[in-house]
Amino acid sequence: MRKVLIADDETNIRNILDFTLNAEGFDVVSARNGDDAFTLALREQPDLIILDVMMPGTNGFETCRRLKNDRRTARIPVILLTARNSRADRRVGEESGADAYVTKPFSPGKLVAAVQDLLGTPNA
Amino acid sequence: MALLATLDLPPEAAFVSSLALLAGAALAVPGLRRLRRPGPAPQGPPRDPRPGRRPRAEVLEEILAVAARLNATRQLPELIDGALAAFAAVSGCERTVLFLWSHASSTFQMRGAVGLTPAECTAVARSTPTAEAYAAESRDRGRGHGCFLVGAAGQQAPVPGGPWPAGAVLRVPLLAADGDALGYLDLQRPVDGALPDHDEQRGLAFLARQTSAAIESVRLNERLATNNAELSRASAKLASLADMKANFVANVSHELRTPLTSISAYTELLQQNLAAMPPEALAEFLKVIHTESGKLAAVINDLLELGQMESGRPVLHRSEVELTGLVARLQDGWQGRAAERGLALAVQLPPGPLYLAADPVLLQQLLTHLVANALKFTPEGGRIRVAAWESGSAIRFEVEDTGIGIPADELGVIFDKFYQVDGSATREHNGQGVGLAICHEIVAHHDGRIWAENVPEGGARFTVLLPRRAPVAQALRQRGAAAAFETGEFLERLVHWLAESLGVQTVTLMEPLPDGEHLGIRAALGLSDAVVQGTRVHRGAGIAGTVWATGRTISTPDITREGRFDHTVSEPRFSTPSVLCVPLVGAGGVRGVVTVNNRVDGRPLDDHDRLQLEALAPRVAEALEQHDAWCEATRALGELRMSMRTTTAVGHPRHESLPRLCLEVGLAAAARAGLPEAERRHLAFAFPFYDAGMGTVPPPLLAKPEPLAPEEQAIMQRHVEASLEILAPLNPAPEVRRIILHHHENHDGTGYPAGLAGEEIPPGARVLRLVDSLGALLSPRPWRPALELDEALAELERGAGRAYSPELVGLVTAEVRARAERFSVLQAAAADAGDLARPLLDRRGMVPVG
Repeated sequence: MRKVLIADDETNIRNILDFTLNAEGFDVVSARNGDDAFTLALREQPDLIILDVMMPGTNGFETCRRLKNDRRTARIPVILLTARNSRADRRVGEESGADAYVTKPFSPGKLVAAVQDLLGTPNA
Repeated sequence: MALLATLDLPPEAAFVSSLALLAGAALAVPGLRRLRRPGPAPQGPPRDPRPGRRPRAEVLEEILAVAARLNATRQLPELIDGALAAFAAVSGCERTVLFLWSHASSTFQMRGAVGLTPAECTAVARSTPTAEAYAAESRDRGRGHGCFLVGAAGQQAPVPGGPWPAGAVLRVPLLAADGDALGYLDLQRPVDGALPDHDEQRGLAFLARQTSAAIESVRLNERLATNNAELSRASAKLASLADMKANFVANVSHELRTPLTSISAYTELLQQNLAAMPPEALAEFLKVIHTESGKLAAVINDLLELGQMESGRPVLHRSEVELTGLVARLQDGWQGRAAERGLALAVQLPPGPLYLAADPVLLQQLLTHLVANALKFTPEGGRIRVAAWESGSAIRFEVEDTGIGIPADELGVIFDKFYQVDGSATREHNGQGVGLAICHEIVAHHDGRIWAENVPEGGARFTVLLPRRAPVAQALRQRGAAAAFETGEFLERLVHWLAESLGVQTVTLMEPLPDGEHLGIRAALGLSDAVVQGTRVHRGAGIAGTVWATGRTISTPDITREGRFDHTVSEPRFSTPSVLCVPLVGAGGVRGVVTVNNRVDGRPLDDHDRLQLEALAPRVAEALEQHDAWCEATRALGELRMSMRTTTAVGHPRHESLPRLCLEVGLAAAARAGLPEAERRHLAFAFPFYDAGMGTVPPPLLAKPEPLAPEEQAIMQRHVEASLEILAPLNPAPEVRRIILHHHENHDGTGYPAGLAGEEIPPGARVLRLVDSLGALLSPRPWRPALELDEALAELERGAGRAYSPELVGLVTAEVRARAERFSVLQAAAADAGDLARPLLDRRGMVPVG
């Protein structure tokens, strides 16, 4: 089963992601902040990572940069999930190496589509 | 200032172009040092005793080099030194003095000299020619930058060339581009004893133009630098405001999107999976949607509220609020949220009630926001302490947490609308950009104070001080005149209120003494009696005297370093160096000053305190004026009562009047009916004024014999409110107002304005209803003569149970009968003099005495 790591400080958002991805047959690991997300990414080696941007401690942009600069995690696709969608924010997102950028409020269905798109093949 | 005409010299074009040809070489010429003559050296042979004229090219070269130097100079002192050296070198004069016009002194002042002994220097520096003196010396001789001779005897002459006349001064004007004199140079003692020749004169003129231009450019630069500094300050401020706004928008948008995200995502899932969802999950989803909708609504409410508050002062619905009860009611909700976040919340309240005059809705918002703020910024496992207690004449409310605290440099701005402790730290806790701004607004509207500080153990503490009573002016209005607090108590309350509002320990309220020359202390907090009694500050002296004289606030961080004030005057000693003194401006100008210092928290008074005190000052002034007016009215009323007492005691017929006799009857009946003394006093106070509003009813209506039409009745009935308005400046007590307001209520509830019945009607108003009718019945009306006493009493009897309280009708009738003789004497006299036809009161609401 494919594994997705999600990081968001909002319980509700974690729950909805958990629910949606589970329903699509993903294994879900979740973190509440950027630092935990990085640690978990190293340990769990997920197939994809969804990061909220505005998180306590290391925010989503920085966490993404860290992940992309670490050879152990650089290959894992990252989706940034955020309420910030100014052009400047998008640029920072791109510069941080994220593979996709999804703005809040988001549609769970479309998010799943983005996940599957990045993973290339339908979930087995 | 003298305007000098252009010197009639031949065109200089050729000269200047020859200079230009030399420019390349000139710039290579060594600097001014070589040209500058050594300081005072009047004795001994000149260092450079050139017997003849130097070659023209050499002179030009020097001039051009100097001009280039001068133009590159950006500092005035350096420029002056350079100019002096250049003029000395070019003219070959040993003594050169430069004067510049000083706007500050409106004179020319020596700004530099070479070749003068120290004594000469001092003497010249003391001579500060005025524009007139300069113009006189230069009269008709000012010709542009061209030089001229000022003779030993003051006579002037053009420069002919040849030998230098003894004692003469060669003057070179320095002119601004607009022709104004910037200053001038005086040259003396040429080394070769000769006046400058034609070429040299043109050289000097050229140098003068260059120097003038350089001076103007330096000054312009200075002004530009100042303007630039101001501009960059302003732009920095704007930039930070713009930043704050950008952050605000970003944060608010985040605040809105976060709940919206949950709502939309959960809704979508519900739509897609409704059939397949287990009931527990369904319930859970709906709960999330419900909760998040609530959060969304709260954010929107906050924003709307803030917008509203900022768009103007909200209408405060002040009432007596009991704080401990309010906190107790809110506490459960707080505890719940604290538990959710893994926080311990402790509430400390005094055992007894805490009353304060506040808007209950706004107060609840204030408390909720502060606690919510603490909940958000405290990490799991932390503690929050909420406490309220009475502190002097204020209520103090504190919320302390063990959270991340507030960066020291941001303590001052956290109540700003656009502010939010930036970065990820904030995001952890759902940014609170709006909540504190709302708190600040609410507190400001209640004339209180709010501030934040970091506690040494970590975490932040927010403190709110709210005046327990409404501001004095309002309190005065509410309590009113009949509440009759003493002047001393009033003033004491006033200074306490100021102290609490500002959080200071020393407050001095000073007012002019009867001599009109000195201020004395009228009320003070934190000063000894000896100081209070002994202080006299002359108008214009010291801080208080200056504020009194100028009507302007003085705020100083350190009084001991202020040279502006005469410290020898007998002013109260300030317990801390930072002092704030504001004028109290009344209708007739500055009527006093308030000085505060010694802040409770030991910090110096800052601009915030200043703004606050300046905002409070008008209220203090208003309160003082109202108080004085009240004292005046009380005195007048006291005299009136005295004369009433005399009248009734002695029964002197000359002072007897129907209204007074009616009041006497009313008060006696009220006593018999067991009305408390206070209520009777209120009745007595109300009586002279209760019908003052009749003057606002159109006379035709008063004279109309037929029953009044409904709209006419409405006009008539409005006189009750009119009476109250007329009485307003006297600040009647609420009880007095009620008596007046309800004295046309009927026992059966058919009266006006409120339609009260029976016991609902204030007792004093019930009595007044009766004696008012009694007076009216015994007075003639345009449509009927005055009734006889028995007829009038019979009329009252008929109204018993309908218009009047039956019990009171009996009592009043008895009291009237006991005074039957006096009534009949009055009526007989009135029948003769038409006295009773006179309206009860004149328009100003005073009982006609006499």
